[in-house]
Amino acid sequence: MGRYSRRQFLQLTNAAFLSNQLSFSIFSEPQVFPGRTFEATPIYHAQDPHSEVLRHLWPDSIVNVYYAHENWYQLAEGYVQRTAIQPMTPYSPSNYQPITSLPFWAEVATPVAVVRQWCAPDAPLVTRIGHGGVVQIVDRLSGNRERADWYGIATQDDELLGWTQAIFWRPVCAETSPTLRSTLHIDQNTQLLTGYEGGEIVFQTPISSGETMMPGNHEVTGRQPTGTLVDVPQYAQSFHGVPWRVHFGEDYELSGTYWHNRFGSPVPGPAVQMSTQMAHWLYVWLGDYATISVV
Amino acid sequence: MTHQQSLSRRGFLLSAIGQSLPQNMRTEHVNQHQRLKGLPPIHSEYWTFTVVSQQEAPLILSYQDTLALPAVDVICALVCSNKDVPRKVHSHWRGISIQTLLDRFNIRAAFTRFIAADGYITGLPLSMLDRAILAYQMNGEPLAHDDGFPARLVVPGFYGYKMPKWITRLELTDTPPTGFWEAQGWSASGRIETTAVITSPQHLQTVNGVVTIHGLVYAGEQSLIHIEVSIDDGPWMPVPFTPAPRFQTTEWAIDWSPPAPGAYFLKARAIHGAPSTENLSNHQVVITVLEV
Repeated sequence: MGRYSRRQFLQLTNAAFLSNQLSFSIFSEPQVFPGRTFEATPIYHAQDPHSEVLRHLWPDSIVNVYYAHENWYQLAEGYVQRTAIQPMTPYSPSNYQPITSLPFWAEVATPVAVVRQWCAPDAPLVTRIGHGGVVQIVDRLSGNRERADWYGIATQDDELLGWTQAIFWRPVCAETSPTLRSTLHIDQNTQLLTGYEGGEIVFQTPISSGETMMPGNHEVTGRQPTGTLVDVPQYAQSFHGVPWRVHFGEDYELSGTYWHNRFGSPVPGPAVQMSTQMAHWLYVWLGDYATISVV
Repeated sequence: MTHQQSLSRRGFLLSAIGQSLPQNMRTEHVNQHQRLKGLPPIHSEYWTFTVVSQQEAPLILSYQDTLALPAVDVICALVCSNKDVPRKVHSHWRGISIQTLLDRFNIRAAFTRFIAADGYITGLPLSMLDRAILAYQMNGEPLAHDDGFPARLVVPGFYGYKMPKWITRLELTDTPPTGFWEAQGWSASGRIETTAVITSPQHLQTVNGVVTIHGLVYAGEQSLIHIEVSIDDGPWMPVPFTPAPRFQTTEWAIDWSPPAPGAYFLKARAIHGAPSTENLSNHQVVITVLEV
């Protein structure tokens, strides 16, 4: 998690860490961070969807966000709606190093990574995995020039899902380092997830609940660095590389979400959706014996 | 006239003066069309354009007769059906209205057959010819030989194979004519579909930094609603554009900043009418971005 500052992490995840050690307002001062556009996105002159559209941003492009307002992000040119942008962990192509030791876990470093049936940019499309999505790399094909390698990625059943350009990925650690006496509280009404250590609130982050969960205390039943969501209703498609899945209760899961930024309101999909960065943080922090209470 | 082409001297002269060729000779002409690309220049003095109806006397126009008739101007693109990219953005054609010539006949036929001096044959329903002209000028100059001198047919909204060069004859007929390319499976209608192409960068080109994507769209007489570009099968990006007049080609360009080095799959499409039902045309290129 050392690729960005603590302040930047809070901006990216829209979370607040509330312990004495970490307590500060997350929007107290401007902090530039990169964002990914989900679709062709209008830049508005003002924080008003009826204001003048200055131009459109390309889908899956990188923009610098200079300030996060309640429902809007401020760019150099104007304003975009917060739901149109996925905060990104900073990416620099110059840091790319091909990995030769297989297998390993990798996350999408660019706005999106395209998976195709074979190693060609116009080969039939298998899937598109958004920023922060995680897969296991199981094969590698050297390119005919520098930074042109391809990775073969596995399905959750260890089959070969397809091939993707290596430069769009970076290795990621899937180890856990659970904190003792960690508990989570999920409020379906306010769409907030709150973390406790020994009864003290340490952080709070907005979530999207994908289904109505049974109120009560639930136990963690398992975890996976990645997985596939099949036929998500509102999107009429499957999502591969869904990262940092923590299973709990009867059949619920917490997971990172790379396909929207509407945290704070319900969205069809996994039971508890949050930013990919926050989901990774939770995946590492949350103990196997933690209690998850749902109201 | 040399004997360079395989069309016989008699056949050429008969065709050039508008006489009907025997059926077996027409077939031979069609079969030999591709060998006749070396058609020698046609002298305007020996050229005529003949309109033939089965019921009435033919109308025969010399080159001078043609120039003396009221001129009609048409601006339209020339689009080859076997190429992705329109050959020219558009041209300014001058000629005489085919409809005006046909008005001289008490027509009962539903179709027309066009015959050119090189033996090429094609045709269109009569109802499609309301904008057609017998063109003798392009962009203010007499047609060059390669463009069909002394005259060619220009039909806005139709592919080039429906606009024969070196045209000598128009026949009115009751049955749909079978043309050279139509006999080989090309569309009988010949109407140009809405076409979007990426003209730059080119397929397999290597680029650096911000990429300016250029393209052309031809939408015929349709009103163009959207031009869109997609990267790597992702969501479509609307391209700002100023629509060209009907039958002309719209040029467009948009800048794209690749997020990372790598190979990318670019697609363009144009949409006319209601997007849900008239979602047409797709052109694609692969490019490699070395540095961003």
